[in-house]
Amino acid sequence: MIGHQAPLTGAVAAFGRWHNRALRAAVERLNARGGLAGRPVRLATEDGASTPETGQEAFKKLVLQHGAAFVIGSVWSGTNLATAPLARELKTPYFPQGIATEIVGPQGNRYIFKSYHTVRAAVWAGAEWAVQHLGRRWTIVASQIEFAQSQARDWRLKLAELGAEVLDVITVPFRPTDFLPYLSKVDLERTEVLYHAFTAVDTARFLQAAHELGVQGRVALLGLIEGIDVLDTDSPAFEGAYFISGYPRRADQVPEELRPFDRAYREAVGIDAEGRAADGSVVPIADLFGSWQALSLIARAVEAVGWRSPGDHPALIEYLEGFAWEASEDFPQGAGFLRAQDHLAFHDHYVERVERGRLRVLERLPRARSLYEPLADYTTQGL
Amino acid sequence: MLALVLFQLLNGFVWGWVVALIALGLNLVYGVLRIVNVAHGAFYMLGAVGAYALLEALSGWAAPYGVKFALALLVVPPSVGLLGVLIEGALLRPLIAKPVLTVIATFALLLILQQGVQLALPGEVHTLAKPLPGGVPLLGLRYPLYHLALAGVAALLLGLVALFLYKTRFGVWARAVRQDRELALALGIPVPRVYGLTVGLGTALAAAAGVLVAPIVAVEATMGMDILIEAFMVVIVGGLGSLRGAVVAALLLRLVEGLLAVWVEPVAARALALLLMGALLLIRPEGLFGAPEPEEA
Amino acid sequence: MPVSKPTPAPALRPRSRARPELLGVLLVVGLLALVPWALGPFERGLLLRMLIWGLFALSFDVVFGYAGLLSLGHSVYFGLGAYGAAWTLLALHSSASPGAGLGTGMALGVVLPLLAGLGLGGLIAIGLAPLLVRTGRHGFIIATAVTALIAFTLAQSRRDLTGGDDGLTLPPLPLALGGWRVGCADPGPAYGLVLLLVAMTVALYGAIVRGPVGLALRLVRENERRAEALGFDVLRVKALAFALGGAGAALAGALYALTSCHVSTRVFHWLVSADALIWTLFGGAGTLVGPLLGTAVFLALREGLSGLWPPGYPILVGLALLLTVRAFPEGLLGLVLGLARGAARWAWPGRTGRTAREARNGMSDGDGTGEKRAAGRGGAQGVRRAAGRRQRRF
Repeated sequence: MIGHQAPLTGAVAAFGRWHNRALRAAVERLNARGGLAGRPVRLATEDGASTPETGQEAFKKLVLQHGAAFVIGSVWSGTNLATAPLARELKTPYFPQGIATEIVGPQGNRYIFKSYHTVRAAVWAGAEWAVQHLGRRWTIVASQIEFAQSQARDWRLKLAELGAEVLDVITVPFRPTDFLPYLSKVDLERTEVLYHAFTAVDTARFLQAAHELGVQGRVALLGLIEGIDVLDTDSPAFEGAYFISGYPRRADQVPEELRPFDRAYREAVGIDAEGRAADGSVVPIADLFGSWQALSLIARAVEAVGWRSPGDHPALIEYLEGFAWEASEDFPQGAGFLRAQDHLAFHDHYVERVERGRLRVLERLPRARSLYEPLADYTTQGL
Repeated sequence: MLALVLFQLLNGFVWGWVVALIALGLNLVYGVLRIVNVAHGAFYMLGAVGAYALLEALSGWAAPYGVKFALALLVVPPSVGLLGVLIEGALLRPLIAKPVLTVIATFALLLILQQGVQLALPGEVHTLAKPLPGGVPLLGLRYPLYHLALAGVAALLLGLVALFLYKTRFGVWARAVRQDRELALALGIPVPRVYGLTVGLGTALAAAAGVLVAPIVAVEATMGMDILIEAFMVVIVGGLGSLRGAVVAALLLRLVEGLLAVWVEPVAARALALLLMGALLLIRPEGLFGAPEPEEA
Repeated sequence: MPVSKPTPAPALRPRSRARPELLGVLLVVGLLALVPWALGPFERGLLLRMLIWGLFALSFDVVFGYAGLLSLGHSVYFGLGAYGAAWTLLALHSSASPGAGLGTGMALGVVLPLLAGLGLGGLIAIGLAPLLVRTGRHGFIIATAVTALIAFTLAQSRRDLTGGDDGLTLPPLPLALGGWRVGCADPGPAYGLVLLLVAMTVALYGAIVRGPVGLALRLVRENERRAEALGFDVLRVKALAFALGGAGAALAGALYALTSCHVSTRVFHWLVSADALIWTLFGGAGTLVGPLLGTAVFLALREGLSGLWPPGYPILVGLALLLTVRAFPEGLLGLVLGLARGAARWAWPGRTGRTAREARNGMSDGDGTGEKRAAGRGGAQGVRRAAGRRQRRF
């Protein structure tokens, strides 16, 4: 039994539904191959409503009522942080899908596994390229949520290390009524790179407002792909914007050696070559790897250690610490590994840019660049 | 620096008119019916959502976008106003002697309208294109033209409401009921009709504000939640029941907030502006233009 | 406070009635104390939340049901209680070396955060009470809503202190019973502590609302001018109710933070106050049992619906509220007691449902007779349940 703490309602509901769909596809695939430990896998879903409080309740329900042995977490970083102590107390491996760096920091524990990057990994991967190609004077505009604040903190750190200057960090409330008061504080005379950290709708509104103010062309706009993951880029407001991503949205931008796996993955989840679903909506394709690969990790580990019940969790956890993989249908994102100390997956990154309304890959960033000093060592903790 | 001050003040001014429009409707209903309408924010939301739905439905029509938007501005607020009239008759009228129950009934209404919209409108948040693209140069920046037009239309609507209240028979009735319900009844004023029309007018004003801001905010079911309390603040700072007070307080609040945002983070500016308004209330508990609440009211 | 008795006062009623009531209370507390240990951790957690939110609703009812003041800012004191406790717990956690002097450490680690939460919320409620009650009945609703907006916005703007929407993650309460430690998923021994504190607060509130203060509150609620004429300082009575309610909310907030391992700025939002209003009104305003009952019913309902149809909950709440307002303004408790009274009358004709009416402990039916209705829209603008009931009764 696998649980999904899914934000089906609230701010990131679109992401929650997509992760749920990807998990269903992954579970189906597992069951077609005989399930886990000889038993068919069932997926239990509880709504975490994009808030930490409801997320905690959902987690408790999944483990205590549905008897979930593993839980795939919400994409809401605040929920992940609030759930971490519960995972430890209930001794249930938890795969949070939020990407705030702190999730695998001292607030995390040995039951937390990040099967997809953190903010810091993405920042470290792309920072040198960005400073070289986009500019040395930055202004950061960030939403008032963990996911975005984590980006603001990590960019400051890395930019200072690279000798670039952060002119200002402007905090914007979540879903503000109007972006103008915040945007007008950007010093356009001096800023070279305007970095934005928002979730989907806010990113769209931010870029739109920036477009109207005439910011485009005067500065380079940069953000993480998570900020536009469910958005259509076919708008003048998006033109020319740069994004750091964990995987190209469009199939023809995927590196040659990954294409067979890419095809299988897109087909299983129901994503076309342009990164859209059948109904035309944009799929957060890179983000979904977190859920997809969490299931692959569980399946591999269950098989390897002969896991039968939650009593075997210690062996499974020890097996996963340091686990490395090659590109395959299980890991279509490409080769990678799970760092032993902080249970964080490392994989390649890409710089993408919106050109004539479509995302194009400018550069592939090898995973070695995203390696940062682990913030915690869980292997020293008991199980 | 000067550009920033001007920019923030202008923006505060623009939003001040929007808040004034919402607060005016709230205050009008309070003044005449003595009802604190907690569902007022939901009517604002219905305005924005209605505009979005209408423009989506009209997307096949070849007319220029500006025309379609103007149509939404003409059609949506009266429709929401009509809904307000119906709700007043069916839901609030029987409770009118029990003010606290009307607060609760309007809160229930808020929950139902909000969740109903959430269910009816798939997807969480929606954005609308602006009917007036482009901007005016403002000391090195470009101020969006639509924001200016929005403030103009809002101010115009407020002017029309004032004319309506002071120049028509209904306006005289409404003001009479506001001053003394029993006396108005005795004078033969159709008080129930005045109630219905007042709620209709108030909700239509909220909806008009919703339509106007739809192109610049994220259109979603919960968008009326926090602006409602801001309108509360404006109403009480301006003076309960005072229409002039609502407008002045709305502009004041947003201008102060804009000005503070020049020096501190905008998030903190908002908190500070609200605190300052709260402090103002300590000095003048009855508000800027309010008389102390009548004992029995 | 001088108390004059306008009409036959509750105190003159036969004393014997207290017996069965006390028995009932002891039975419920006993059940609540014993049953959870047989339940699983999830159900135990649910009961715990019912107790804490029930206490919050009850504290709201002291202001709303007893004093007739609808406060949309009640969440402010809950939030202050929660953050006061959370900050203290975090400070103690980071300074204390784990395991050192468990006995005293345990006592301090539990008592200090609780006191800090109660103190912070309670003191601010006491400070604001005289200012807020000056605003008049309608102004009060709006002014309190505004305090919630200010508190929420301030808390949001200091994300460094409050954690903003994402909140602060807290360590579990340093409390153990034998080898059973308090956890985040399973409250364990913390359940006992919460039950004890909630029961004590309910008893305290009970003593207050049945005493002279309670009489003053009801008098003010039903007819301010008359209360004034009788020599009551109306504003002081109101402020007292507000401060009492605020302190209860702060305690509930502190318990909430300490048992859920997490607190976010959401606790300040006016919708949290509205929750208390919903639960109280549905359960039965102006009673001690009603708010607790209403909270339990709604939390159970939300729990049940979240599995079936999550978006349905708010709509259901809205409809339940409308139904309550229109059909049974006395709330669930009033409805149940009314039915019981009817059944009793049917079974033993000749005996009226005296006991049932008395069980609605806070609501004395002696003060103020029907003449308030005659005053038209005049009279107190407080909750008119009492008036409605009287009409039906006579």
